[in-house]
Amino acid sequence: MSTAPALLVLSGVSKSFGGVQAVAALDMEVRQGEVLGLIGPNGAGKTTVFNLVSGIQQPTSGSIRLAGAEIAGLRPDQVCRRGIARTFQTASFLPGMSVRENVELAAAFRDPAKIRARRTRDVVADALAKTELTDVADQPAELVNVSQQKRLEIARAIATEPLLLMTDEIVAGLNPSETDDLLRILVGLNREGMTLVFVEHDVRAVLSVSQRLIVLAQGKLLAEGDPRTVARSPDVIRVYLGSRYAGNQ
Amino acid sequence: MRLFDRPPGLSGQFAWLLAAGVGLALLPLALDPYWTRFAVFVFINIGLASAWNVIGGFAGYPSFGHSVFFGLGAYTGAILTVRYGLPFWTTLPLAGLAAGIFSLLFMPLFKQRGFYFALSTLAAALAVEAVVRSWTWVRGYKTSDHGWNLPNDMSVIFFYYLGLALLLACLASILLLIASRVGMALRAIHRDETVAASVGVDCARYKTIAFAFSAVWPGVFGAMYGPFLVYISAETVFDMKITLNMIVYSVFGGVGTFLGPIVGGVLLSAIDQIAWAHFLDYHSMIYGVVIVLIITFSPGGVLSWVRKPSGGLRS
Amino acid sequence: MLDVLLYGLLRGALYALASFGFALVLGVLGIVNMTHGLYIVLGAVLTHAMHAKGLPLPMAMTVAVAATGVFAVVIHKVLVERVFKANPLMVLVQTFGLSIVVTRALELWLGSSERLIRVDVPGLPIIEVGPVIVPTIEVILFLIALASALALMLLLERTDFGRSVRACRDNPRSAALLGIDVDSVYTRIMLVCGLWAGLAGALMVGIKPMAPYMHLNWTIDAFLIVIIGGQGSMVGVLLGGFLYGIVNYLAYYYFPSIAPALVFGALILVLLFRPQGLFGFGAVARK
Repeated sequence: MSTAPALLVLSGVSKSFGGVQAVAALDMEVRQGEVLGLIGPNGAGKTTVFNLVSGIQQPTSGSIRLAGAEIAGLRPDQVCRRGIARTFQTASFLPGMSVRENVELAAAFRDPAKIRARRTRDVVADALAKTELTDVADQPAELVNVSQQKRLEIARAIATEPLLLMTDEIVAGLNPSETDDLLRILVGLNREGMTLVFVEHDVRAVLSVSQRLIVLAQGKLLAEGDPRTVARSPDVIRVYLGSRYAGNQ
Repeated sequence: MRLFDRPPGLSGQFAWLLAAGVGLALLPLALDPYWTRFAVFVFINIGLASAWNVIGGFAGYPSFGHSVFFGLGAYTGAILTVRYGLPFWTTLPLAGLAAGIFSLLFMPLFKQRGFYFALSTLAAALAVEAVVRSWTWVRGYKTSDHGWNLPNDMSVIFFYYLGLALLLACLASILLLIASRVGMALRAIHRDETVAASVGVDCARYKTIAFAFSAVWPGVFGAMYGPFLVYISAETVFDMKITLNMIVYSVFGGVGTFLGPIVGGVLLSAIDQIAWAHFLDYHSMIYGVVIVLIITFSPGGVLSWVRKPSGGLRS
Repeated sequence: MLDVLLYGLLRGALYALASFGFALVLGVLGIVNMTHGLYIVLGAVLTHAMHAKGLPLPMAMTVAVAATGVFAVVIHKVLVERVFKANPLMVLVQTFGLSIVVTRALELWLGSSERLIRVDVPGLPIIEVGPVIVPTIEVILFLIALASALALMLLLERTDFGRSVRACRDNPRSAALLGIDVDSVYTRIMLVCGLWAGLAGALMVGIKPMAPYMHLNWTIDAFLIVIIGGQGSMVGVLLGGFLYGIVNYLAYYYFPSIAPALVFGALILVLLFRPQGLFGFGAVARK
């Protein structure tokens, strides 16, 4: 398990919608260079945490710091430029554009400093290569298969040259072999230094790649630590009892 | 396998534009004054529709109050000419600038989408029109006036070339916009703003830029319209039908494409003219019927008959 | 001041009546029907025309309202439905064009001037509220409007039709799977819209001059009321109508020359700060 310095720190983060407390005084951190698995049953608050970090929603209270700087309250595009990239749970490619054009968009709107440092064209080619999409790069995004569309999500995310990549149930809907391919790509990215937060329902996928695991339940942190230990803890099993899932939605 | 044709590069597009411009420049030699005058209206209409298309078609934010910028341009031009004696050449850019700056007031409306945006812009435009109608300093030279009389010692031919020049400049600037990062951002915003924002696109900024751009040109054309018609009033330059035409020309030709407003502008102006010449009393009805039929039977517009969605100059 | 408030409240019921259909169409079908104002104007103009030909007023109103309802259905089946299925946003433009065409036709047929029916029922008591004298006719129309509003609410709450409407509003696809003929529900909604808007117009022509060219203003008024009141609930629209009536009266009474600007300005403020409406729980449109 990594003991590297914290890259992303959530302190006392709470979010309520009307009367519903989606996240309650959550303290958690993501360490530099690690693969952190974030799991929890439906309604645990995973997606809310995701949206709070990526800027789509604002926390009711608490602070979110990236590399020491506060990012709570920033717009999604500002959060992206600070270095957090995300994928979406449902298909989010831009239709009527090719795979390449989808990735180009992300690369073209990087911080000007990043653009000066590395040409858009190179970043796009690199992102496509890493996600094994070079062969289908010029096909319309809506026509490639599901596995390729998932990889497009990743390619688009890494084309923003992020410090931290958060994936939201990225293996949902994939068969075991496609899941393995995707995980292999993600692990490869992590080996090159990308910090990864892996929000997932599929516990098997999570256990196979995560170096550390955090379990959320009812908006609070339930357990945290080594994946296998956490997955076997009675509290965690109790929380999942009754909601069987097979890894695929 | 390439499924899309690469659209002609920017220089290719400019070449086409130039060729069309040269061709049109020679046209007055063959036309009598009536048709020359008609052509000026067509140029203005195409310019307006193309400008609307940037925010309504490319960005996907249908503005239903856009005639407000045309009206503002016309009134700004009138005020600058009659009250301050500014020459024609300065009133045009100043009117455009005024319209562009005024459009920034619409920024809060961009928090909404679709119908809400459409109707909010409509309400805002009607509010502005109401203010203009009641603010005596703006609405006419004397406090009892309800319009502006403008000096006009320029010929129809002059307005033809002016209109053509402005239209070419307008279209060229649109081509540049589409090819730029702004165009890229608008395409993304149109399809999915959440995704666009998640990859670093500051949506509010680009929507503002697009809207201001789409307001400047109607402002300029408005300032040209005044002297051309010699008299302007709130009824004529704030008319809802101006907005409707902007939208319909774009939709008819193919909303969201570069050629759409041009094709729509030419064809619908011709239909309008024929209806007016032959069925004066029923002219607006016939024109309206044509619009309704077009939209009912082909929401994709003329260009969708001619070309399957395959790139080209489509956004 | 009291008189302005009172008049505003009385008229408010009629404004609300004019807007229910718009709210229904916007809330369930999700479209903005630019011919809505036309329904109101049709109800007014047809009522006046038939009354002028000698038909007793209640009959003229009934026929006018029925005709407006039929008109709304025909428009929907023949024109709007097709475009609605292809591209809902285009319905906005289509109905806009349509409203212009039909208005012009109406003007050619029945004349474009403003018209008003002077309703004279002898022997009615004069109604006084404190120092304010209220025209009896306004109170009568207010009551009719309120009754119609209640009837509509009952229709939507208690009947099978109302249940189908709610199912279609929440999730058309599920509704279809449950065996509900969604197209038929939509058509009946348009009928209801035409009838209630036509009734509003037929009532209005008794107290306010009405002319074909006013259709756009009425559409916008309906939109304003629905937005202010909240498109999710009919009660919200009713309250919105009252509020609108009062604000409108206030604006025109104290600042007549810029009254439209004030009213639209208020709309924009509501849209910006409370898009779900002052009273409503309706969903805010997302693209």
